[in-house]
Amino acid sequence: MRNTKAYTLVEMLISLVLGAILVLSMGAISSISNNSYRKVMAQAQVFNDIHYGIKFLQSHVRKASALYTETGNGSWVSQKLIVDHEAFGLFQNGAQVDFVYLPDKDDENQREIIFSVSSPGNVTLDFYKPPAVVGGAWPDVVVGDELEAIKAQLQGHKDRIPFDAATIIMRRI
Amino acid sequence: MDNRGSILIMTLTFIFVFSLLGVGTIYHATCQNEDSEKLRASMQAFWLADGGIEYARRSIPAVVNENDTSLGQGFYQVQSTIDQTDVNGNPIAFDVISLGRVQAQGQRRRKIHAVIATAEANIDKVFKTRGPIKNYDPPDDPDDSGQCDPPSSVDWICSEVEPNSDFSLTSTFNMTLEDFYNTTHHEYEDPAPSDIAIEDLDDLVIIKLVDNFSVQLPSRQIEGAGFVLIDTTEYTGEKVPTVSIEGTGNCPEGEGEDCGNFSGILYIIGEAKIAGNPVFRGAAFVEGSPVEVTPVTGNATFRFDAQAVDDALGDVNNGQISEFKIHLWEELPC
Repeated sequence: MRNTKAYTLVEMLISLVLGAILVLSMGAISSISNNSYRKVMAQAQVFNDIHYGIKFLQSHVRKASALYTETGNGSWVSQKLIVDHEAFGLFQNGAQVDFVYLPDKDDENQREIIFSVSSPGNVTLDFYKPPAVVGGAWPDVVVGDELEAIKAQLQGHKDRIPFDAATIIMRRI
Repeated sequence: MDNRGSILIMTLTFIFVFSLLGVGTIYHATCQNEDSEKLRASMQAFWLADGGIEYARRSIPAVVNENDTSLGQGFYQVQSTIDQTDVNGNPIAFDVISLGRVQAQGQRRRKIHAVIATAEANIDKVFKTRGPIKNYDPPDDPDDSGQCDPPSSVDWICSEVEPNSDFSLTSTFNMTLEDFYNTTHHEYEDPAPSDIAIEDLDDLVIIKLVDNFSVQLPSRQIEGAGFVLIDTTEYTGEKVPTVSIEGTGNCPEGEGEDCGNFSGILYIIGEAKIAGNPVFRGAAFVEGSPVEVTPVTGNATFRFDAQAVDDALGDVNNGQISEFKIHLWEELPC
């Protein structure tokens, strides 16, 4: 009778190879799952920040008595949208660019950061003034124009997550 | 028993099970990514739809019919229709449907319905007061015979008078007191009747009482329709601040729309008393706080006048788009 109590060397080697494949597969699955989770969380964070930012901008523009733009000099990488005595725009802080809100339009030190990206090439914020006729084109805002409505577009990417939020906001007063 | 090769079968079974787990995990991750993309697109579509509503509001009094207008990464389409017009046929309410759509994992759509209107549709009384009117028996008084008993010989249509009414400046006009101050070019503080420029009274006039406890509107004939707002919110005296609506108008009905002492809208934040023979056309509001009885004596003539109300509201809004407010905003399923 043949002795079957021990594994042969070949069986052991095959088992080890298959076991290694299993372990590597589990690792890969775990890694994919983790990456997916991180990406979804990062996307949710970016979209939440943008949603909040647009809503914040909307609430201020709607109750504005005065609405116009100023040229963004110095660290500004977009036009400054002046909403009464407050301001919104893209502000460069080192390598980072922030979508900021200034409670006092002339005091850049008191800026509040709504949203940040890692470099200036990664984000743009554009404002357009309403068309002269229904259905007409939305021209670029000319600095100093008193505005009753704006078309605002924030686009770019953060951590390789693309975003492009655009809307129209109108003053209420 | 021959169990040669069993380890191979067991291992293959394990591989199969783990392969299923792996495929499931990858599928789950892919779904999460797709959901995330859909969420992003849905958010963009929402802002596009909301932007469409703002666009329609901005375009008033014109109606809009924009199809697939490009904005950002998507499109919005917005249609507005006239929902209601005033006595002159001017639109006073618009119904707006706006749809935003963005292409991502199929098409993401968000739809918003809004009603944008002025406040003037709510004004249909010649005289509304927060408190009672002295000696006035409303026609629906259960203790009464159903007869309307105007005080003295006052000439008004009972159904156009509403004492004990619940209203405010904002609920009536959708504008705050601050909005009115921001709009007016004619502001008086504690004026004598002769101080008030007669030509101002066909426009928006705010009369503020700070020290004077009473003001009398000029009894001269005024051309055109205006909006007079009496503000006693900063009154510092002890007596109840009161507005006298007096006059010597003797203007039989049907003698022209400008006939009378004042036409348009008279809104009193404070108390009022009516005496003499004023002829008033339009709509008057007495928002007393604390609420007092409004005494009415003499031979006043009060007539609701939709045209005068309309003209007066035009003075307030002065052609500004902001006269139109969003009365209803709701998201609809796509």
